[in-house]
Amino acid sequence: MTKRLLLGNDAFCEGLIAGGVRFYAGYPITPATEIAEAMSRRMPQVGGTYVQMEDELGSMSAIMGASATGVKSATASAGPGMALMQNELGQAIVAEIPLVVVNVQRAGPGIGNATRSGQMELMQSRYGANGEVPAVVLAPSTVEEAFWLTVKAVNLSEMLRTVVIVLGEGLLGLQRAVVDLPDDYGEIELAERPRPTVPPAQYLGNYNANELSDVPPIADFGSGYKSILSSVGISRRGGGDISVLGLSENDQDFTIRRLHQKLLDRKDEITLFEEFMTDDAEIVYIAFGTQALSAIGAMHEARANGIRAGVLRLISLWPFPEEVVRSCCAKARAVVVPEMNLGQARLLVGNALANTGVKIVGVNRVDSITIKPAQILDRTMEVLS
Amino acid sequence: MSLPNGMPATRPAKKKLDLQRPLDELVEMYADIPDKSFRYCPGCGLGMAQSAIMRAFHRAGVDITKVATAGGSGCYSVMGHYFKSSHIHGSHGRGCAYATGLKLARPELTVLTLQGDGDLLAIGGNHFIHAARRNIDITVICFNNYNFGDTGGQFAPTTPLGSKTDTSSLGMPEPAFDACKLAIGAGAGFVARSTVAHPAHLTKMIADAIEWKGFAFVEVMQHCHVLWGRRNGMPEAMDMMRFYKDNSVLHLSTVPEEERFDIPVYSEDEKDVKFVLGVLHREKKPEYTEEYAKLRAKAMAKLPAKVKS
Amino acid sequence: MAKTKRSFDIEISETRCRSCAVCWEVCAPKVLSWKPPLNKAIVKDLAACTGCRLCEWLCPDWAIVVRPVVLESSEALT
Repeated sequence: MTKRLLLGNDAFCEGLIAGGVRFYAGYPITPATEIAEAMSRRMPQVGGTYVQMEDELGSMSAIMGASATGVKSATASAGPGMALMQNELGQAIVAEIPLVVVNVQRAGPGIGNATRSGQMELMQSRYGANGEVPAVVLAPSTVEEAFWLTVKAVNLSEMLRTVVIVLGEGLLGLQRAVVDLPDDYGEIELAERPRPTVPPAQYLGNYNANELSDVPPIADFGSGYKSILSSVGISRRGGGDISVLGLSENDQDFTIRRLHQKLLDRKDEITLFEEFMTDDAEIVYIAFGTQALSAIGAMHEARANGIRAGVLRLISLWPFPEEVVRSCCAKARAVVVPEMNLGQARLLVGNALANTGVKIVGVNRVDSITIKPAQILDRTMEVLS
Repeated sequence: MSLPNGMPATRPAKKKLDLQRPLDELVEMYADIPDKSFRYCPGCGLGMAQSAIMRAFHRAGVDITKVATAGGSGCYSVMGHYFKSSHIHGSHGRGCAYATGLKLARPELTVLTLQGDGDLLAIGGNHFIHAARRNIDITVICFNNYNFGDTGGQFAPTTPLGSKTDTSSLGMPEPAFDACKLAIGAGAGFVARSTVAHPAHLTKMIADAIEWKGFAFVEVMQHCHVLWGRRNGMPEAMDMMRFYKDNSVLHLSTVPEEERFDIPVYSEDEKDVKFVLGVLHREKKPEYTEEYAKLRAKAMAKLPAKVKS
Repeated sequence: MAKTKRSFDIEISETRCRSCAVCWEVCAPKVLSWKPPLNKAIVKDLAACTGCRLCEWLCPDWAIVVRPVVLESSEALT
């Protein structure tokens, strides 16, 4: 391990490389541009490919193409770029192409405030694409975690044959921190997508699933198999029969449910969280990303003032870890959710704690200024009084 | 002496062509088709174009397991499923971007995009011109049927001025794209046009495009008699085939006598020419995957094997 | 000198044919025709076939296969 001063966006980049990504298609967008810049230098160094596409739709499409050949692929974007990508994102999820997308969130709708930070795309990550598509979303809080979580994201995407979104923030992407990174990325354990084991003549296609929890094998293009990656005509026995475009009712139902079930059945492997002093907590702060650090600060101040506070830091956001929220708030009278939006995580926490009688309030800012521990503490006093 | 557009005067030694192989043997080698008929309308030019593409695979001598195709939405979108090659059937218009990723990640693959005119020139226009600009070694095949057939015949960027479609019932008010000129302008190295009414010529154009090192574009004039033809006085497949036959001329640069396929040669003073067939542009340029490989070798020489910086 | 005459065998798949009329319209020697009520393509005059394969190349449903017939004895060629 070596200590290095690293930019948050460079940590995403190094995490992708350590995770085995060897194809990156990018398009410059503040505050995610540094990832593309770093990738343009690093990809050829490690034998990979960097291509700068004509727009975000292009970069998503290009990584879908690259991933189809078996090369781990990724892209990064922000704000309106992510909005554009939703088209291809849904396509990649339903076609079950393993990909990683880093979203370095900026603030505001539309063009927004490019250089400012926010946490406004939690819901978009899950509900942005058309159709009922699931999502795997991971949100790091620190620069070092950005590295390790990105490695995990690559592994999950391969294992689950899906798109994993790493939900960064401008505040995280553009901060420099001293981090401990391994000297040799070769020591990191990597996952590979399931590949066919039968000879090409017997291969039933990339969607040959019998159970709702199946992650079917995927054949690399050019490997001798006829590999069809398609979001239509998917049936239990593969995308072969396209004579009638579209699915039968049964196949549609099976396909959509399977996309969700394959994640839910592996929720234990996906779910990541960190809890601080929640065992006896009468008030629990639930936060993700950079704002979780403020929550931890508030917890220490509250404890110093004799309030039994605890923190649940959510790292994996989708599928939402409802059981974790419930168990951490077992003794809680109230929950405070500090976040830099108008209550997206609060909605999910409220859903998890429905009918438990726990009071749920938020501390919300949309001015891109980090929530101070004092603010959370003020809210705590209001709730408890 | 060299012929127009950089075509060599002395042609390389001819490889033995096997053009008389019966269809069923070709199907066995290259295609994966259902027992029932295709998803196209009866008489649709797509079936003919698909046949020409299969024959072009054979003519170019490609290994079908090393062929990858990409496409999006449209009548043509099932075509990729009908070959033994691998295929990405993605969203509308992204074919060239998928192909860029495929080719860059695995340069040894033969990559084609199968795209319609609306798919390639309307929603996917940006990806098309930029793939041409990069001169990446992919073959883009555009099936130009003058309208958006899959949605029921709305006008497309290629619909001729004044013609009637679902959304231009009083006549198309917008001028049409010339896809080949667009490709040349964007920097494509090989640009050709043919029609489904000239199957031998079409096969040769597609085979040449596949063999071309660099970005190759083939515009296939492919009739839609059901939607465009019916509204414009050509309700049968044969009406449109005759329309293509009667209005096609050869571009000068496709010259060699034995390859004229009995198509009249284009002369500048002829007016009312609708379809100029043949290779319209041929220009050798540095190819992107090769250039990137050089760049990568340079970068890797500076930072040997070790992944860490 | 004996004049050689090549002959051809045309196979039309009735399940694939969808009566689009392209094959018999493009056939100059009028080898192909159609049969009511579904107007599917049939071979009417096989002897006239010149083996140009236009029907095979143009059939949009890949329903026609044209095969050259290999004649057994040399007499048959005269």
